[in-house]
Amino acid sequence: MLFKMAKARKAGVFFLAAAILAAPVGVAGCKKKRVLGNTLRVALRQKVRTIDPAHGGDYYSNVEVARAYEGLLRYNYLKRPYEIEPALAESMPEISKDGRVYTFRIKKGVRFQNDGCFPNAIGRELAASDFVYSFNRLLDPKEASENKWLFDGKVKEVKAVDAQTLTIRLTRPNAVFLHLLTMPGASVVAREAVETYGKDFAYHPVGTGAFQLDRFSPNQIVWIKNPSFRVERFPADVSGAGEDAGKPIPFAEKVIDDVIVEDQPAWLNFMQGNHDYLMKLPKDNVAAVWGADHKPTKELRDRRIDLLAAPAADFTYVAFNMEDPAVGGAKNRYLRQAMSLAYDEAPTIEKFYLGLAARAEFLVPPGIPGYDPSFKNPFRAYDLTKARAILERNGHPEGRGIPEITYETLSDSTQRQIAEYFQRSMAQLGVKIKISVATWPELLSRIRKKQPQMFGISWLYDYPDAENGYQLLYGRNESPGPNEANYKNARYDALYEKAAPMKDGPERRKLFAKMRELAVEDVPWIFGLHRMETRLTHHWTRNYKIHAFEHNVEKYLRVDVAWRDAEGGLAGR
Amino acid sequence: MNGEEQEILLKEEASFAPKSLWLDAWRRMRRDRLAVASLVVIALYTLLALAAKLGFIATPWDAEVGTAYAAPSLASLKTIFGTDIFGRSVLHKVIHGTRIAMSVGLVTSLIAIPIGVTLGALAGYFGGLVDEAIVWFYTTLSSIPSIMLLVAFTYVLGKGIFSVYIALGVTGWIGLARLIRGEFIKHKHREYVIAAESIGAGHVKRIFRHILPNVSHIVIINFSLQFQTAIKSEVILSYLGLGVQGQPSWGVMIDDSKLELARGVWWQLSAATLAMFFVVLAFNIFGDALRDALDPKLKKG
Repeated sequence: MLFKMAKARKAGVFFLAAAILAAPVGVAGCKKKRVLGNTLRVALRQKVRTIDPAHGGDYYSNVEVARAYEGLLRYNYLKRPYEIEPALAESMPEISKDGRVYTFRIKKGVRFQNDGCFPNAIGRELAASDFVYSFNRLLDPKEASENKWLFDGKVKEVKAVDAQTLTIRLTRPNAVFLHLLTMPGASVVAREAVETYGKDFAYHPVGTGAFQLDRFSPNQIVWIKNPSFRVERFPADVSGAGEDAGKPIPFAEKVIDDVIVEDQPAWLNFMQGNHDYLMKLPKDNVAAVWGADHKPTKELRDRRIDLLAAPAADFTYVAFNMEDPAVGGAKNRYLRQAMSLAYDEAPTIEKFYLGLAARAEFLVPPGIPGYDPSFKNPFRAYDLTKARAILERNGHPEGRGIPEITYETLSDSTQRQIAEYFQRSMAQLGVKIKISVATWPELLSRIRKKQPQMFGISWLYDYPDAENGYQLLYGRNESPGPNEANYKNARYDALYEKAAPMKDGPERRKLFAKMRELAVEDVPWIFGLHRMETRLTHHWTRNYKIHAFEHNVEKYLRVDVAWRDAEGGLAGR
Repeated sequence: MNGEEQEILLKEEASFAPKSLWLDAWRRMRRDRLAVASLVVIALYTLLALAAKLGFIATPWDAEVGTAYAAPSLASLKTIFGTDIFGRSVLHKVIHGTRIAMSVGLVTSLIAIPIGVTLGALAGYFGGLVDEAIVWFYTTLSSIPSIMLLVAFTYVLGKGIFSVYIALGVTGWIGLARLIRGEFIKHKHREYVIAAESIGAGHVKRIFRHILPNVSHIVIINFSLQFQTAIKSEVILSYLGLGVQGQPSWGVMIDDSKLELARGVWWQLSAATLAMFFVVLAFNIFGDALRDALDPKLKKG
């Protein structure tokens, strides 16, 4: 690969030299000299189905939606743990005492992008009634919106009190409602645009956002800076804001999104400087950037490519089926505790993630409000002696008399190897494990029917609220719901029902801590690890910070244009 | 000695010591060095598989013999092909992979051949409705892409080596059935069959006592080809995660190496593919040599 790349670079130099030589002669007259200017170039790893907020359910559609559209709220780009801040709302909403009515003030002077659907093609000012229209559009059965779930069953009524005031009435108090409002699906659209463009609205976005669509084709989407975008500033009151703190955003005049589905072309394009950052580091290329010494490789350092890593809002775990007679229930608690103690995560982190993961003590990952770095799960520390002692105390010295347990997992190579590692770990305890692998739909359908005895799985947070993790052990969420371990503990459930609708704060965290104690003691799961998200950025790409929930990071990115041009970032294109 | 004399001599030899088809074939094959070498390779694999099965060598296969991903070294036999992610000996895994592969080859052939022979013989011998029914059946079966059929079988029967035997066995007989059917159509009106009929031999006797021995060389050739097809299919199934579970297999080893290659671990892939390469090659060469030796049309050559 190195060899090939060097060759490609040489070819690039040759081409450049030829172009320079040919230019005065006029041969290149038809081929305009390419000046990239202040353009961001990004690789999207899936085709974009739509740029309509009502229909973009998948990640990359949402990325495109967020370029053009905004909602009431968003997450602060830099703050961790993630923090909600107003976007089109002037401030955070007033919430009524019973937690059912949210009152928003809309920012003044926000205009829709200039577009032919408005009189004189000049964007109209945003009003509260636009939100009423947009939210009702999601709920309209005729629209068959993929994002209906955001409000369906949760919102009773959306009302514009006046041009600047919006009230949302909920069916019942909902602690995570504000998180739902940050999602691209809850963006505001203009009725004129929807009605003018009809079906074509999917590829003709008219929003209030930082970028305006210039060109849409299945393989490339080009955005230009929205000329009528209001003054927005880069976050300033946060540490790590850097030299751009308080400067108007967006920095880029243009964003070019190339759709590149395959891993290797995306990787090679990035390495040649055709893209300013690489979103998803192909697994097979990890070794090329991340050495066994847990440092970026020399090649990476020489080329001044930064490897960013941040904890993903997820955790992996091995779930016991709590309804299974061999491993579930209170009578087998000792067995689950012993198995948890006998499972050492450290070699997995090393072998399968090259150190790009951290041991999970509990279900709240770093970055999520309520994450407690000081918490140590007593059954998560690797202690084989203690584990053996537990089995012996319960009449199973060296695991004698414990029936073979089937462990189910996905059939891809890594998951199978992790399962083999689990099997070997349990063999130290004398517990026999049989591995059974399946495809994802197959495994999921077995889990839904409560069939597996135990299985390896992971959870990615939908929004940064610890409740999204705690609900996984809530009794009434049992399979086919998200409580796939079918864990039932009346005290845990009572605490959950109390804590779930509450706002994040000390009181709620106290309840969560009690629930944690119960769940840790019962061991419905053996906790695995928190994975790391990785990104590669060229040194000319500034302000990149891994954000698990922000879709339009391009708004905040700045390219050091002079530097990029000097470095031959022009290659290709 | 010119060619003519040689031929006469050979004829004389033949007339003095009459040889059966099999002895004759064996004599002709012995002269083919490559075929003999292939036979030796196959015998070696069989011995290795048997020894591993009986626990004489490479036990236990999943013991740690060194550090993870140790490169091949001559320090000890166990690490001659290096170690895998858990520090297990790749040599031991290859040997146990051999055991799995050979058993799959053998068992599936033992399932496929009786089915293929019986159905092919019935179709060819009786013709008419029987023929149409059987031909319809196997054409339909063969029109389903075989890998899809195998996947479907393992889903129905559950995963594991037993399903692999069954799946490969009940899908692998079609080629043989076709050949046998053709031969039976050719043979059933030959004089020796009519003669047998005229002295009162029934259908069963005519099929199994008279015609079958005359087409049995096809079965033998097919056996050696079926064997290596089954080995390849087992590797593919295991690679896809549908084959053997919790046991070493060349397919699983190749699957592992997908991840290892990026970090420069090439030995597991090499060991598994070479092991497979040699046995498949040996079976192919041997199968060809068998055909040359057994086909009466090539006898002059």
